[in-house]
Amino acid sequence: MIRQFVQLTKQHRRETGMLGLLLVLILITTFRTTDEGVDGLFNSRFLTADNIKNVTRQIGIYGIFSIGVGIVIITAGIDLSVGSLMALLGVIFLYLVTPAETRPGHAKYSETEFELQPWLVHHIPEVSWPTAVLVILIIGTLIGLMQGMLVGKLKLQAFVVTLCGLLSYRGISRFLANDTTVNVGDTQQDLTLAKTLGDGSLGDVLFGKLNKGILHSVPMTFVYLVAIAIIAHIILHRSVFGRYIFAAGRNELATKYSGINTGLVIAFAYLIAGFCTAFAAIPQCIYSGSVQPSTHGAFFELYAIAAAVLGGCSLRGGEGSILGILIGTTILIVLRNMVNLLGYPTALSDAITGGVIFVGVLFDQHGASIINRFVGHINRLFGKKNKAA
Amino acid sequence: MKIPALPFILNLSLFLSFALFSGCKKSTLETTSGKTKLAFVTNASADFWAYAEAGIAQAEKEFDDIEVEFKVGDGTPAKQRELVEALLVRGVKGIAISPCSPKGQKDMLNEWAQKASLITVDSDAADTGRKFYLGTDNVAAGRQAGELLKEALPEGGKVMAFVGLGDQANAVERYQGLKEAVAGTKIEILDLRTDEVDFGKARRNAEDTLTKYPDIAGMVGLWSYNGPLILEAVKDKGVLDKVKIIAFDEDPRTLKAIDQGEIFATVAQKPYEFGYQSVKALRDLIVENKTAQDLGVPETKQKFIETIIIRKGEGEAYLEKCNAWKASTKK
Repeated sequence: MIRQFVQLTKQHRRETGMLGLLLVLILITTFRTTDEGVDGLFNSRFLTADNIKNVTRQIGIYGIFSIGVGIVIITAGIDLSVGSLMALLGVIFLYLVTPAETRPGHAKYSETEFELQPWLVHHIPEVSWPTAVLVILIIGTLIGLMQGMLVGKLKLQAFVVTLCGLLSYRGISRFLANDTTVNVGDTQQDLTLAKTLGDGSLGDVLFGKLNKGILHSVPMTFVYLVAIAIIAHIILHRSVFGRYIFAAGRNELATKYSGINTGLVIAFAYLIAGFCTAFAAIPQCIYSGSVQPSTHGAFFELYAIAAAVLGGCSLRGGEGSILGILIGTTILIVLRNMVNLLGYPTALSDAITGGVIFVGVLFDQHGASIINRFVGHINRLFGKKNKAA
Repeated sequence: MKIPALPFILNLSLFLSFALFSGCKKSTLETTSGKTKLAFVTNASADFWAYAEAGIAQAEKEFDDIEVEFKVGDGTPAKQRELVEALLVRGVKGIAISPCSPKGQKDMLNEWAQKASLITVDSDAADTGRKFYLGTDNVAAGRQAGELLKEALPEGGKVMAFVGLGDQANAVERYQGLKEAVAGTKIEILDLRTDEVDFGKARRNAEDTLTKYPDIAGMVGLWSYNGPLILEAVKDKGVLDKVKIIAFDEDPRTLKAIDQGEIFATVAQKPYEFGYQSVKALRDLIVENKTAQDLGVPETKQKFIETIIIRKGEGEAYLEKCNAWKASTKK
């Protein structure tokens, strides 16, 4: 049993290391937020139902797009356009569910005089929200595919292609919204169900909002994340296509010469990233209640990259796992929650995040020998025991 | 690479604990002294809020039964939500917030209002569960600017107004007040030019106005940075003696220019009072169990804090006061 466990940790060395870091963070936060009379496990505020819900909801949203970015990183690529794409898709989503006349960018529209921005705003049709969700998923996937074709087929550099995305999607979203905030409240449809599905919990969906139970602490975004993670895990680690992704990331040329269409494989990875971003964009838009095109989703791409790298994805490609990306995301979110709960100055929050990522990666690079030695010790211990027996 | 395992892990954990615990003031959670926890959440980081923080610190000093968390947002509703949710988990009983997107944040503000006493500061969110709003009456502030214009231009003349975003509530209200005050006089307000908070564009707007209207007599900057940028444009054109400038808020460049006679006057809000009075009000609501009516909040649920006018000779003194506020928050 222990031997199998050791074997498992050896196979998943990076994930094990990061899981250790995560546990340390959780322990620190748990025991530094204990207070008398707090209605949480071990009297800890960190483990109250409300906080667990807040944290897992964020993990859900960030995890979904981090999986997409992680897969792109495994192909030795990068996706910098996530945050801007979220802003663009957020604006389009809210436009799709709002009557044209009440959209913030509509003010300058006139029948006689043509001007591009108000004309566009006027001609985006109003649809029911499920259709809008579908449209957003399709647009996100298509944008992902486009970036993928540019990188995979036309051999443009991923950094440049997605950097252009970062700039232009945000620009377009600001243009469409006429640089003003688009609110969820502007819509005239009944978005209650959409809000419950995007921002509520599993319990809300199954039993209604009035009941209270353990399932009311499981946000829907976390449920989506689990579903997407399982699918992504199967694609990446249990399918032939997953092997192609790793191979293309490890050595594209060699993979190509063994008869695999690497261009297509890479394009598909970006397509997945586009889909995941679109999927996360909707709950994020409902979470913040409005989309401010100039700031919505800013730096999300960097959080995704940090999560993937923390979780063991190599920026050189060919390495990484879905489990690792999930652990990386969880570390980032728990860290932010810790900074908030312990009352550290908000200004210091990013510095602490940076510091922990640095320590994590340092440990990851140079801790290998330590874990090997540790495993060696245990082996020797058991070896001795066996001999003695 | 050979690293002795145990010392390395020890070092690592030492570094971790150092990184996590050093330099941070002792967590307020550890002081289970029965003090009521309050919080102030800003929309973004700005000098304006540093002055508010000074007022908060003063209130915290005066009452020893409260402790106040000062949280700085990053301009997004998502960040504010993250901050407030964590504050509620920490057991905060009263929150003063400057919502960055009042309309979009309606749902979350209502939810928070059920869990804690909530007041809005600086930017209001009407029809939510907030107890009341505390801040500037921007129509009145606009009128004050209008009165200053009348004083500066007794003969009347053409005037242009400048602002960042023309559709923000405070911009609309200040512009409205400005026009009300000069209605029926010889002063003609030409238009409101917006720059989308692009400082380059703000200056270009001023320059283009000077070019297009050579007979312009007055320029009004409705947001804090507009005043100094108008001044730059006017100086560049060399028409300082012909154009009177009215500014808003307490940008250091504005205050210095007022004393040098380059800007006529400024209408300044009182962020220090925002901080001080919001904390005091929250304490009254929660600790003293008072109602909003007891605190003198009118039926409209909007309690206004008067603005002040700073004229020639008062700029330097006010700047010193601002700097003293900023210094007082450094612990």
